[in-house]
This record gives sequence, structure tokens and C-alpha cells, in this order.
Amino acid sequence: MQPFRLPAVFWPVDAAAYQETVLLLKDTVFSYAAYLLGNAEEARDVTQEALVRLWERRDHVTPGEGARPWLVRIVHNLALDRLRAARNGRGFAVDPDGLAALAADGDTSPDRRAALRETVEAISGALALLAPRDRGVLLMRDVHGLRYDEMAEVLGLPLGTLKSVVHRARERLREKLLAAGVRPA
Amino acid sequence: MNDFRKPFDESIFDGTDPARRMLRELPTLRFPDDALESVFDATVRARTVAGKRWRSRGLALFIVAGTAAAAAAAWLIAPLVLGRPAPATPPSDARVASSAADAETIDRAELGLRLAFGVTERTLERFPVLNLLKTSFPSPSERKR
Repeated sequence: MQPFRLPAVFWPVDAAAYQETVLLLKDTVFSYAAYLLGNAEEARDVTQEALVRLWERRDHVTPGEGARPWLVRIVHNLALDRLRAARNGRGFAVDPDGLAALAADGDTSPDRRAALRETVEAISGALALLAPRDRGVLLMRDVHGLRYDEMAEVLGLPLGTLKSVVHRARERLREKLLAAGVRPA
Repeated sequence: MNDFRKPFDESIFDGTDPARRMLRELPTLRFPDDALESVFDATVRARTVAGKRWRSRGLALFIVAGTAAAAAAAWLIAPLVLGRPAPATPPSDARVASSAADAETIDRAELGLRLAFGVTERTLERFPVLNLLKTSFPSPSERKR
């Protein structure tokens, strides 16, 4: 299915640039929120709020790829707010089925679907056992490929501290994966 | 001390960091289309609708103001083009005498202005554009001719 597009006729320049930015980054931002929160519905709300904020701040944010760190920071903060609001501190029930159903993969064969579901279930289950900040740094660095300087800006941490946090988070995730008996393919 | 960090880890994962390797395999999730539409409804479409609303208001204001201005201009110009309607009854002798006195006063004043600014017949010949004055405001002597 083609992504939704508004007709660009008579559009102001900033609206067209906004649309292009949203279409470019929506899946990245949504994935980040979904894996951080472990829940597609909550991630959807957070992503919508972040994209509306992008519209409100469009004069101050570089459109296109340049908006990625800004959007990740907004989503990160919104998601942490939601997690804090949740009573158990872990946030919401992890829903690997709901997440796997949204995997943006052209291959919809049953085998591929099953493999995706298995991967999502394993990783999201292990991520859910980590602290939200550890989840965030792993997603930023290893899933979305943010640079360390961009992450330091997002998280408000010195570079050295950030690298240490990432290293420890990877170790913790590895422990969780091994404890769960997960083996990469 | 974690046992799995050492040779155990290496043997299972072929020397790669399993956490990083699995994270890289994590599929990107697709933001639902209906959620995207909601975002555009709240942002670009709202702005576009607001813009159209303002354009409609501007057009309506332009039409109303333009019509009013055209009507005012027509009301002012019509007597010049069509002339004033003739009075139903002829003016009285006193009114005629008063108008003649007014015309005489205007003629004198006009003559005085022409003399004061040096607009003579020779000046008009040298500067044909000033003939507009001559044709528009002929001197009393020319008018009598």
C-alpha cells in the first residue's frame, strides 16, 4: 500500500517540507517509541504527539533527515513521561504480537511473519526487563544508528558517560537474552 | 562473575556481540496510515483549511469594498457625464442676477491669477501643454468671444 500523501497543489512551502519530513521519519520515530514502550497503541499516541510538535516547531527544526535527533528526543521524553506515569515503572504490557503485525516488511509470507514475530518477541521481551534509559540508548545507537554526539544531546549526558551507559546496557541485554535462551539466527 | 561473557559467549555467537546483532535484526515498525492521517488533520490540513477560510474572507471583503468604491465613484462622476437635470421652473430674476455676479467675481479672480503667474498668450504658445489652461479656463475676453 502506498503511504498516504496529501495533494501538494497550492501548499505552502513549509507544509510540503513538513509532509516530506514526516513521511521520511514516521516509521523510525514510531519504532523507537514502540520498542521503548513495548506497546503499539501507546507508541502511536506518543508518535502523533511528537509529529504535531514538529509542526508547531517547524521554523526551528531542520526539515528532512536533520529532524531525526530532534524527533527522537521528543519521543524519548514523551515516552519516559508515560512510563513514569505508569504505576509499575515498567510501563505497559509488552505486546509482541501487536508490534510484529506492524513490521514494515514487504515480505508477508507466513514463514517470514513467524520469524519477525519471534525476533520482536525475543528482543522486546528482553528490552522490557531493562531500565527505560538503557532501552533508549540501545535503540538509539544499535537500531536507529544515531551518533554518540546526537545521543548525548538527546539524553543530556557527557560523551564519556554516554559510552559507558551504552556499554553497560549492551551487557545487560546480553545477559537477559542468554538467560532467556535466545540464540541469534 | 558472569560465566557466559568469556569463551561461552564467543562460541555461541561467532565472536559477534549478540545484543547488537539482534538489535540490528529488529524490524522497523510501520506507523499506521490512520494515525498518519490524524497527524495531517491536526497540522497541515488544519492550516490549509484556515488559509482557505482567510482567502475566502479576503475575497468577500474585496468584493464588498470594491462595489462600494465603484458606487461612490459613479455617484460622483454621473453628474459630470450626464449633466445636471434642468430645473422644473425657470430661476427668478434675483437668482439670475446673483449667479451673474458670482460669475463676474470668478472671472476677475481667474484673470488675476493668470496675470499673477504670468500665463500670457505668448507663454501658452511657447509651452503648448499649458494650452490645457487656455481650453479649460478661457479668459473672460476669450469667453465673451
